[in-house]
Amino acid sequence: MRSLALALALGAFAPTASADLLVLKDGRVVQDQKLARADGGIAIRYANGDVLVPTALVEDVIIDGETTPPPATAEEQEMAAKGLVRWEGKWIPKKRRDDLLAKRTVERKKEVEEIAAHREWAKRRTAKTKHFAFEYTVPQGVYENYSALMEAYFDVFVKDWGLQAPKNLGQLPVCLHIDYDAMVQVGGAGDGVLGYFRFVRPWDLNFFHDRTDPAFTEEVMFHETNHYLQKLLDLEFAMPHFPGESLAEYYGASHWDPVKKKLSTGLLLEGRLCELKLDLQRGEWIGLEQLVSTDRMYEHYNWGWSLVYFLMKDARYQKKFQKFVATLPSGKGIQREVLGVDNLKTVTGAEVWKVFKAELGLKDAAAVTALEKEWHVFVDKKLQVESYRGLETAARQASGNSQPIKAKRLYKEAIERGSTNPLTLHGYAELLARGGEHEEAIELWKKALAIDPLNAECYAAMGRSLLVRGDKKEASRLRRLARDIDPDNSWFLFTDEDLEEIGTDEPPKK
Amino acid sequence: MRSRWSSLLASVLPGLLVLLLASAAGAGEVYENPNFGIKLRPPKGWTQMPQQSSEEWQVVKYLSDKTYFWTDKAGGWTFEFKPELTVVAFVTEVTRQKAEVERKKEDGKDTITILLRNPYKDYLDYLKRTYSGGGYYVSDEKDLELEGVPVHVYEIKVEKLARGGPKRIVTWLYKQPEVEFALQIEVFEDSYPKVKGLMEDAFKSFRLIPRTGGGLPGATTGEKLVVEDTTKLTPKQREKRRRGSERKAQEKALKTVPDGWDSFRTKRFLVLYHTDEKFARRIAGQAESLFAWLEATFPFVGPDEYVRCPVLRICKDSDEYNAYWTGGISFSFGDRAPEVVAYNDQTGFQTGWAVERLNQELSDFWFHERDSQLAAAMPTWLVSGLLETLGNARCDKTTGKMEFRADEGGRDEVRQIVRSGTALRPRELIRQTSEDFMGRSGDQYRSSRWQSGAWVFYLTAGAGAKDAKTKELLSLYIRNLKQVVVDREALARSGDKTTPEAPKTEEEEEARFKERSTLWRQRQKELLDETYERTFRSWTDKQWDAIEQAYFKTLGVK
Repeated sequence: MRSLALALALGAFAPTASADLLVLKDGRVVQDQKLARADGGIAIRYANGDVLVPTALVEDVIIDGETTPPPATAEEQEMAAKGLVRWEGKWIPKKRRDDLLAKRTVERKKEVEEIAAHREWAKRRTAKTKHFAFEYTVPQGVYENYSALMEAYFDVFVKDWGLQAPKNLGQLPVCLHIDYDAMVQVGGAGDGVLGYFRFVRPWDLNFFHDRTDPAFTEEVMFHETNHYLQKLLDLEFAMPHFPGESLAEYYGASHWDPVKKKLSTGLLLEGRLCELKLDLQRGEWIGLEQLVSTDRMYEHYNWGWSLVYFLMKDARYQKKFQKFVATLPSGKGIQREVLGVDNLKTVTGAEVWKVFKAELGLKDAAAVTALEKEWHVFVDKKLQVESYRGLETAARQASGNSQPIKAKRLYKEAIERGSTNPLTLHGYAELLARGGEHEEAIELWKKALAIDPLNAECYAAMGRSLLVRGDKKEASRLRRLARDIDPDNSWFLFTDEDLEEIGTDEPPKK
Repeated sequence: MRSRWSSLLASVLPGLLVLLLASAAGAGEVYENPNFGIKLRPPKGWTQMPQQSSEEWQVVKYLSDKTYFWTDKAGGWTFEFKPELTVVAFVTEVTRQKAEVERKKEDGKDTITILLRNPYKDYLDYLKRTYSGGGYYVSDEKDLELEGVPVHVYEIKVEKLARGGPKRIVTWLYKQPEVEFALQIEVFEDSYPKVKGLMEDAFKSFRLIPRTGGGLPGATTGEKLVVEDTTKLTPKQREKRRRGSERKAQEKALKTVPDGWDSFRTKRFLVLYHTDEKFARRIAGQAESLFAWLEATFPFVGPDEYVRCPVLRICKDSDEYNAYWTGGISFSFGDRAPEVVAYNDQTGFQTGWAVERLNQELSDFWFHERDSQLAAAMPTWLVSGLLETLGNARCDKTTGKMEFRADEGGRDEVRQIVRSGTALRPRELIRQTSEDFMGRSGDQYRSSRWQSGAWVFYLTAGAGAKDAKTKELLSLYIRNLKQVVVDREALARSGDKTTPEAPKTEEEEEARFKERSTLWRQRQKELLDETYERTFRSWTDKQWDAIEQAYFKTLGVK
């Protein structure tokens, strides 16, 4: 007879190198590294150097065996001689203080481990608000922000579109994942999907928290939530790709003012605008009929957004466009098709075009051409990238398209207009380093690391510039430090000798 | 920056060539693997699965003999699934990531190869990179001890967007200093209670035995995959390499063939089958016949090239076929593995989708073996049209020759397209770039596919194949295409080789970007136009009109 014994209980699966634990406000957790308190924050003692995490970034920390400081003042020394120590304003016996401290440390450790454990889907937290039932692995503060936003968004959309939510609607399950990898793994939608709304029952909304770009997370959240809100027009109707995705993009560009408690919708979606400007550079235009009548196409996200933006911002068209959207599920004389799932109906692209023309009053080809021209001129001449977020997107795009001169200008403008995104500083620094401007690049990396001291790529990249400058020792240390911080990044596996052999002008990237 | 590194990179799998010297277990019998030093008793009646030729991590896989069902209460659909037991080995040495830089001299030039071995770090990493059944998470885990061996147990729930229903994966991870073995079973969540006992019996039967088969595979050495541009070799050199890879693939396939499978050889195939022999011989006959037809119809395509004899693996049914593909990464550089997998889909030899797919894979394989340059240059309308046409071809049992059947469903679609006024005339169709062909929507792509299928069928096996004006048209077109490719390559070689100066202003960058973004499309258009010009330069509009009229007539439309 074989013996099966339960050997260990929860939480003891793998022995750790250090029992210290650091939880950051953005949800990241540092474990298996020795920690120490330092001026201005917590120092992480990596094998190849200390990294200081500023207090402002720290959610909680546990330092194993952390002791109280020795008596410093004359009074403390005198009381210590009597076996007393100060504890919360009182003098108590040292043993009692030590017992209390040990007890509290155990409790706090449990709390911090609990915070870290909530990153796992199996230990996700749940909460209900008026219209949503959340499951989340993000930090509590991050969740609270999104839940408030979503409730405000619900109210604004329902009011703007004159909707009446059914009384028995219940709360929509919303899954808020800690990061992209978790979203892909737990959400199951596959690589490249940033969020989704499962439009067949049981409904379900999934998105993730991008700690490097929370504003982008909000865009995705507003977009996906909008698909749910579109359902409120008619629960048995599946909105076709156009206007469904285009409208969701339009509402994706919303902003919540927490002070005034005001939600502004239909802002300029500069990420999509950058894509349009790129199409224009290539001389590629999408026609009105092609956009509206095609069943599914990627351009419903960017060109479609611009059309909705154009129509919703123009008093001549706004009501007509809203009526067009409302007519699709419930208007008379519309040819609706059975979708084949969940008793849903929808309409084909050809029918969408028919309704669009009717509701926008496009009586003939000339009217279609005129509206198309007006929309194209609007996109070409009136829409411009202005905010630093838009400039960042445009800079990344230009960099990826081998336009370093343009990319550098855009990065610089983004930073001048207030961007403190470490990825922007890093992107700009990389371009400068590639052009030989190592001093400027190193300064930018230092700034980026002051904001995000755990960005391994910045250390590795700075190391390459230092190597070019001749500081071989520090360059090597920084590359090894990058590997300490992110051991899963394959590119940091290369040794100094490897890198020297293959040259350092083209940095390896993840 | 990223692209340069990507091109240098040869992301090589760890090269763990698992030549199993395993004794296969039948129903309820013990499976032993002396290489890894393990044995276990799979659930009674479960069938051992063959391994993919590129598989390097799975030790063995079993498929349940029983089908379980799950009904989606919301949609009313019922799904079926057969539980699978998979054993995966994580050899400690192999799981370490390695980066290597190799420097050597080739043809007098210094070359640097960067090898980034990126194996699975552990079981969860393996699951993350191979599982495609839906969104999952570890719902529970605990540690056990099984006769002194530490075992870590994972319970994994597959819930969100689960393909074919919510599932549960239970894995027992047996930890040893040099190697970890993951025993994993996947079942429907609601059939888990029924299978739990079977699963635990199998897990508990796992034992370590002395390693007598030569030690842990891959622990100290690895097979390095060399990326080589074989187009620069002579046909003889290519033949030598291909014979080597053919031999290797066949050896591995034979060594890992599970119990219950049989094999035979035909002129061009090593056939491994788990169906009745009659069906396997019919499939093999079909494959032989297709190759013979391709050779007879396109003898001018790579006449000196050696076409490897593929392993033709025929699974019992679709469950076995699907299970064959799960759990691994079918990914390799260089020449594709010479293996084609089919199964008996029980829908009839003549109309079965499995035979259609086999035809398409084989023809694609044949063209790439005979002339990879031509295969890469073939326009989308031609590739798609040939695949549609050949998919419906079947070998006649008596004569052994290929017989072509028109795709009636496809012809109906084309008739609809003609009636809707959106049909392309063949002279327009064959000048479509891949972008034009794919269109911007699924409907546009399907429309192009139906139309190219009907047109290529007309030329290959329809009335056009008997018409003096068109019967040689496809061959002529392909010959001209090849010649255009060769001429253009020669022109490029003799042209200006100086690297253009980097742009100095944003305006210059914009201009360069615009030029580059249209370059690929422009080259494709030029290739199509030039091939068209060489093939049809003497054709008048009247001739085209007559041919198009005849073609549309065969479809029953004007």
